[in-house]
Amino acid sequence: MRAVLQVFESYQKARVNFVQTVAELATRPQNIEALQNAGVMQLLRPLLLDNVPSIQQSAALALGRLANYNDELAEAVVSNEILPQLVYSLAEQNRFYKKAAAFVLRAVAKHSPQLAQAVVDSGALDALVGCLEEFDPGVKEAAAWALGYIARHNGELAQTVVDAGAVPLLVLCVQEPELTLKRISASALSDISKHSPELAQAVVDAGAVAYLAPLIQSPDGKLKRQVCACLAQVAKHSVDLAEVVVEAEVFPKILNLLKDMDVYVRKNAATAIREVAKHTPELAQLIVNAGGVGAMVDYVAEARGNARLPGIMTLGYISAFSETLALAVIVSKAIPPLVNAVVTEPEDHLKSAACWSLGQIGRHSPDHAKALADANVLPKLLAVLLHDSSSEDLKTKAKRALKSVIQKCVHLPALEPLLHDAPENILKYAVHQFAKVLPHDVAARRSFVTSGGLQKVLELQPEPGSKLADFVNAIKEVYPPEIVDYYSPNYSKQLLDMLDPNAAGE
Amino acid sequence: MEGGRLARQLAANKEAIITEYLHRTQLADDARERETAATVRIQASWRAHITRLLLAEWNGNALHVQRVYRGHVGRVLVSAARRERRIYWQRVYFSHCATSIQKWFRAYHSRRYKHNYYARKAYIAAVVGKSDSLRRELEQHLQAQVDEAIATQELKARSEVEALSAKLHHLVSTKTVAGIYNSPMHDGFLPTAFSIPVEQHLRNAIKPQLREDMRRSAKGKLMNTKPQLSLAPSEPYVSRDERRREHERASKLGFVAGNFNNSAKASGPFADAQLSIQAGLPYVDGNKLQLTRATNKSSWVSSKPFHTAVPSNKLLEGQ
Repeated sequence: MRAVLQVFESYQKARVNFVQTVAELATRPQNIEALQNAGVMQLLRPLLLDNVPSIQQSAALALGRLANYNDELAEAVVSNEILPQLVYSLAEQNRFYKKAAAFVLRAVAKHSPQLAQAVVDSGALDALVGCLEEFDPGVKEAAAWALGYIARHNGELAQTVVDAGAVPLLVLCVQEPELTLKRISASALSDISKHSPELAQAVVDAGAVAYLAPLIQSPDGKLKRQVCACLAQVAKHSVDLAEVVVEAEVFPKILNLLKDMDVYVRKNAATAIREVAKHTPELAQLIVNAGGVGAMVDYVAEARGNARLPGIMTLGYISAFSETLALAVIVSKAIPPLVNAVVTEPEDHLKSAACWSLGQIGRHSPDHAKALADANVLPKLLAVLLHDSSSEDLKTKAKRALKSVIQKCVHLPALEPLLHDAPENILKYAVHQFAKVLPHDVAARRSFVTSGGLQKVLELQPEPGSKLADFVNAIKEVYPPEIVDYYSPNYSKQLLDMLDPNAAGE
Repeated sequence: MEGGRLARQLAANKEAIITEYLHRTQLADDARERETAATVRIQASWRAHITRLLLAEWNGNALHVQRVYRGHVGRVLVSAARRERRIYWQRVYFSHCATSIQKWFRAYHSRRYKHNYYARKAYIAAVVGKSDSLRRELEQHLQAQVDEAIATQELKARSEVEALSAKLHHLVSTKTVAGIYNSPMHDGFLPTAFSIPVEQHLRNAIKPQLREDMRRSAKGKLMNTKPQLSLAPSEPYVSRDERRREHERASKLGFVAGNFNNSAKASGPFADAQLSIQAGLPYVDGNKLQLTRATNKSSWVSSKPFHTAVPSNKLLEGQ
């Protein structure tokens, strides 16, 4: 009898040893190739059904680590039909096993939408939502994490998560005292709400915003990151959702986060502010009245790289709405950091965002355009437009910005450098402005001649009948014909030609 | 009577008178033309004179009438002109006043209903002021965060040093043997932590622990009472330390999602007890030394013959 039991006990010891060693080896990436070649997946699968709980848990843990590493192994997990077994035991077992099983589901779901769909198809959602009602915070955390990873990929998966009734439970999890649980639930809510307005509305209807908003003031950096990201994802879809976020008294507290120690907190806070500001002038004015423009200008001046983008776009959205707001943005000294972004940022999408923002600031009135011209913005926009390595999008945005600013600019000394370098489509706007201003201003006419602008304009040979030709003619009419002839490019040749027939006649 | 006298005279001189008469008549006839012409001339000049006087009077009268009339007409015109002038200047004045009023009203209306430059200017100034105050607040906020982070880091470092010093008390130097942290090779510098030599830390850190131990032994409790760990089934004798190490390793493997404390059991008599992954298995007392092997009662009586060490026959039958 004893000998028989001995055999079983030694087998059990071997299994425990195997599974714990595999779990430990799976933490190092270099071992995973070897494990995969040794066919570890097939060996671990029956161990999930072992009658010793510790072996089950360790096997689940090992599987989770393997699936976490790359999507091939996750595919193997799915194709070996391990998921239904995990889902079944998710309802039954103790909390260590639940944590490990939720870890496996999360590791499989994170790689691609198809794998996440496979996880959903195996019926994991109801089991995970059941885990969210557990007492143990670690289990809730693992379940929330898995749900977040499933919902992250696309709207349909997020809708299935919402349909399984996860959102009210996640909102309850946000209210729990454990920091990590709060973080994960906030992250899951943000992953759910980012896809569509209906999903965001579902999250808001569960009362998430009211619980997330006070968390902005928590001392934990990672929690603040997730909360700001969630508020941004909720607010971005529509005016009503943005107003819900604002009514939760998020402003002006969220402005404090623009100077947090954690760089990602700053970035997510700037994103949230951008998503609120972009909808209506009233919301933009709310931010301006709270002093947000100065803080945002500082943020754009200090941040580098992709983190700058939300700040730049916020300034653009605020200025786009009205003259007064654009004036407030100018007076808060926003132009130098934006110009800096256009010039020094290596990535094209940041440059194009900065060009767009500058265009929104300058397009309202001559005063605004003059402010931009004084900061020497126009040559820089032109340089970006003409640069070979600029992408199409960047060139389009730079061109539109230049066009809208030039059309309002009546400060002629700023427009003169453009006459020399600009391509035809920009040139016609600049020449149009000259044609508008010169008939009325004597001093400007004089300086236009002395600075060589008239010569340059006359050197253009526009096609007759085009708008450019009309503008050039309008400018010519302003001056006496002698001056026009003097500065025409072919005049000296004409004079010499006049001389020649006479000389030939004599 | 005079007539009578005249008649007598006439009768006396009748002839002379007739001749005189005829003479005179002849003279008169001769001078008649000349006299007629002269008479006409005299009459003409008299008539001229009278006419001239009349004309002069008439002229004077006409002038008078005209003068009066012209004066009248002039006065009428002047009064009309004065009226016109008055009206003109009044109109100028009123227009000026009206323009002023309109100007002020238009300014007010424009400021109120279309665009108020001063309100906008004040608004921009207020926004800039608010932005500056917010910037200052944000700076303070960041500074507070940085200070807090530095303070917690320092606290953590201090507690780490304390904990390490408590454990490394065996490295303290004695009278004869210098410890590592007090080595004579450290010429000019001594290893310090928070500007106190490490030696000092080592000496000081053990004191609280000693006090604690003495207090506990004074109360009669044993040191280091920890609940028994469960033993895996079918294990032969393995020391308790080895068991504990194995348990620690196994519990580290169980870290799936962060370090959590089971809040329900955070306090209480078994606060230190962490459920091992072997929970749920039958309890085997690890402290009991397995000094005996399993026995097989059926082999107590051997089937082989029993031989003594010394052959009994040899001893008895004389060597």
